[in-house]
Amino acid sequence: MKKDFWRDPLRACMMAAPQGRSAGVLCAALCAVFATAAYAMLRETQGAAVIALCGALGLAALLWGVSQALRGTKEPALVWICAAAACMLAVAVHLAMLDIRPGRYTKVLAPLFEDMWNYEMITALAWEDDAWSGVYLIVCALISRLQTFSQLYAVKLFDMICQCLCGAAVVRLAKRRGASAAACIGGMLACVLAPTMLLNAGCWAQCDATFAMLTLWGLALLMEDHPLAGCVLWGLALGTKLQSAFLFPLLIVLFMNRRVSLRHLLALAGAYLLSQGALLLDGQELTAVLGRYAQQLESARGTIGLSDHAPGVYGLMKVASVREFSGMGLYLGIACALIVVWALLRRGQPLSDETLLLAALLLAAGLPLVLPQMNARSLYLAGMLAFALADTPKRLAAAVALEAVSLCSYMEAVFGLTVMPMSTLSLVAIAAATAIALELVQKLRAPKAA
Amino acid sequence: MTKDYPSEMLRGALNRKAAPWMRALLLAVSTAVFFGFAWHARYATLDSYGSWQMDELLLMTAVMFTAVFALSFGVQLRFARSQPLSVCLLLAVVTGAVVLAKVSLLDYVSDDYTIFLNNWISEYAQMGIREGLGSYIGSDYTPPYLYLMLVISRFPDYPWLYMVKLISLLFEVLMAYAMLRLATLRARGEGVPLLLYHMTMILPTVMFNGAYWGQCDAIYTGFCLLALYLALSDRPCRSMLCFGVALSFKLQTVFFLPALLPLWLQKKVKLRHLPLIPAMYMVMMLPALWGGKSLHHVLTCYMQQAGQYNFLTVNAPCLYQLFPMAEIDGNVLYAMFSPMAMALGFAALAACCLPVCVHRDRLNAESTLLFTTLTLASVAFVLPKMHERYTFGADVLSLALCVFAPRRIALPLLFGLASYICYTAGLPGDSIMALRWAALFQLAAIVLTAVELARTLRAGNGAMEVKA
Repeated sequence: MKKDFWRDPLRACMMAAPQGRSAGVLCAALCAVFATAAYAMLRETQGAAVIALCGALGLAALLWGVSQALRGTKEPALVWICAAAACMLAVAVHLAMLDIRPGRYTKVLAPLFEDMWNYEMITALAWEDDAWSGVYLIVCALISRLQTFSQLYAVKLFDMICQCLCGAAVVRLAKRRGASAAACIGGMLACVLAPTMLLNAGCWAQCDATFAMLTLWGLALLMEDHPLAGCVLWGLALGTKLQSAFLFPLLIVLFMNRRVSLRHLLALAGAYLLSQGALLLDGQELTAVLGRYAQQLESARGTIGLSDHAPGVYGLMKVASVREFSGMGLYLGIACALIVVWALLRRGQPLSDETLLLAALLLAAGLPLVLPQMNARSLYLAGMLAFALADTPKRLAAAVALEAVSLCSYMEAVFGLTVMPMSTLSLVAIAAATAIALELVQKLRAPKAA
Repeated sequence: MTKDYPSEMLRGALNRKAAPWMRALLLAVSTAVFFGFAWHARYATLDSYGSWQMDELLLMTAVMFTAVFALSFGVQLRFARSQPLSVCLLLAVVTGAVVLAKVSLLDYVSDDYTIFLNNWISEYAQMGIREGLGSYIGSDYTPPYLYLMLVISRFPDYPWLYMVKLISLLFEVLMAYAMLRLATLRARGEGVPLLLYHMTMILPTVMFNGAYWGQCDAIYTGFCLLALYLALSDRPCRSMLCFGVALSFKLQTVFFLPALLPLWLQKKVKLRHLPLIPAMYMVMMLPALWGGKSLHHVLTCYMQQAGQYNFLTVNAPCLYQLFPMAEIDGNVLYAMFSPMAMALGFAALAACCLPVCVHRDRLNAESTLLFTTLTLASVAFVLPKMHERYTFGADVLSLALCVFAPRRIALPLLFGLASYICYTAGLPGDSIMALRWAALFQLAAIVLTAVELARTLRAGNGAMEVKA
């Protein structure tokens, strides 16, 4: 062995399978290398050390995902280093977009941070204008206190770290359903490198990764039978964005399958209220806090109408009354979600993790197509779940279709560029959702285990 | 006692099979809850009425649509006897959401309503019952539909628009029930038929046809689908009566009648049953005759209809959308091609019948439904004068085909998309795509249906069929 090592030390190192502590040391070393390299490249930039540190944090999350994917596979260091290189490049791509100054930042976020800066922290945390959600206000209030570091960078770095954590959650979800190491790592990298994931914060200063990260980790923990932690994360996700509720119908199934109990659901509600705590401390009424999303929807109804560059059934309507079709869409959305729940309950025995994931994907991809007041980012969560499931040609096609539809919607919403008519995008999205539904039906029709 | 007692108790209650009294209680409670939602729904049409009337109008509106909910949910509860309470609760919420979704669309006023229905009902409102039955208002419509308009006219202080749509909604329940029964021809449990019931209720063309547009295609389609189910489950007399009722409402029933061929070949229907169709048609005409309409009129009103709309197509997903409709005058095109189109329609029918006759020993419920879908779609694809709603039957029935093989989901999607594109041409604003795309989608769906029929006939074995 020793003789082999000295004959070709590089080969011997690359072919060794890092396990346990050695894998941890390798990852730590790679993070350190990345942080050093990033700092060296960015040293002219204001806050280079912080940026490098955040990059290393994001990389650490991704490498943790890699280690989860490769655990027990005895893959050599060569594979680890290749995967790590891909992760480093993914983080580097995000860092390369830090200087892009999106219109939304200039018009919405920068004035918000400035206004918040003029008030005390508690007032900033309980900001009343525009009905921002609790968790998002916490992030914004904290960023507004930054004086020596670019607030634009802070928004983007926060989103990047959340996105890397999403990637790690995707590995966890994919691993849970028995996907191969390659599929797990591929899904994770897609989560951070897919065009819409890059554009979301990079060119739009959005922060959808926050709610997606909480929702995906919540789902992973629920599937791993950690219901309390899972429900708490889902409560926080709800406190971040209403879209996280797309997956909540699954709680009925998990409850009936004895994987969640009433006290966990109470924990979910408690976590939601906790995330809105600042609003309550500020003296706002509970009804106002609970009705924050209703306020958001009401305002959206007035400004964007039925949809804001979102693919879906409204992309197939030329003339439609907002009031009539908003009501129809909302009720149909509820009906469709419950039909999925019913189909899952009909199975009559605890569902496999893969079936649960497929159902989650169907809800995340299907409901935005029916619900009103959706925006171009409405398929963000669906995209990530699709990456976690994409290891057969059909599922890969669905994931690619969802990503392509989202990208075209982004182009229209951000740059005003119509790549394809919205009616075509809507049809493609509906076809993708149908393919996922069929896949789920096939799973549910499969013979029951003995 | 278990550690998590409240959750176990709740799960235990939800998993328990719903006893009859429990189902009755659930129906009562859910109806009361739905009434609350219906009461607080927004009815823009009522705004034009004086505030002093508002409470009465609101009450009546809420009661009417609560009745739709109660009927729809009651039908499901009656069928779902072995379902646990959890499923019954889910059914209640889904049903409520679907009916409320339809209620959201009630305020749209179509040209058909403004130009025709509203005026007819206004005229009926000036007459007594018998006079109304005998009058020739809306004479290109068959009397049974006009009876319903006459009933509506008895409520002069209420927005008739809602009542017209209420009729459509009630018959949508019948149609969905017929689909549920058709699903039982294949599916063993209660779940799939119930799922099909709801899928039918939320099918886009169904949502737009009744609740939005106020059209009545659900009436004849509901009766035709019920007739198909009754025939396939060896109740030929009732089946023929249903076909007779459907025919008395709308001429498009004739697109369903070719189904009698495979039914007859399977000995589900015998020659002696067929006269029941015209007999039932005549029974449906009795009130009109009593009112004073001539026998000639009630027998020839479809002839009058056939003489109208001399165009190759009126926004239908058909072959003629691929013709130069914009470049050549519609009347010229009609004159040039209508004889050919009529011949082509009959040729399409014959072409559909041929494989069924050849493989007559292999017919079963599945092939009968496939054949019916094929004739519904293909004959309307080539006949002249077809409207956008004439393929409604194919849109709905194709959904039932998925029960036999889920891969057939492409059929309702393609048929529904083709119809929907055409619907948008008939509704305000431009169509979402050029209608030639609708024709191509329809053609693709027809080809797929034909392929599925051929495959089923090749593999078919009537003896293996699962009876309801």
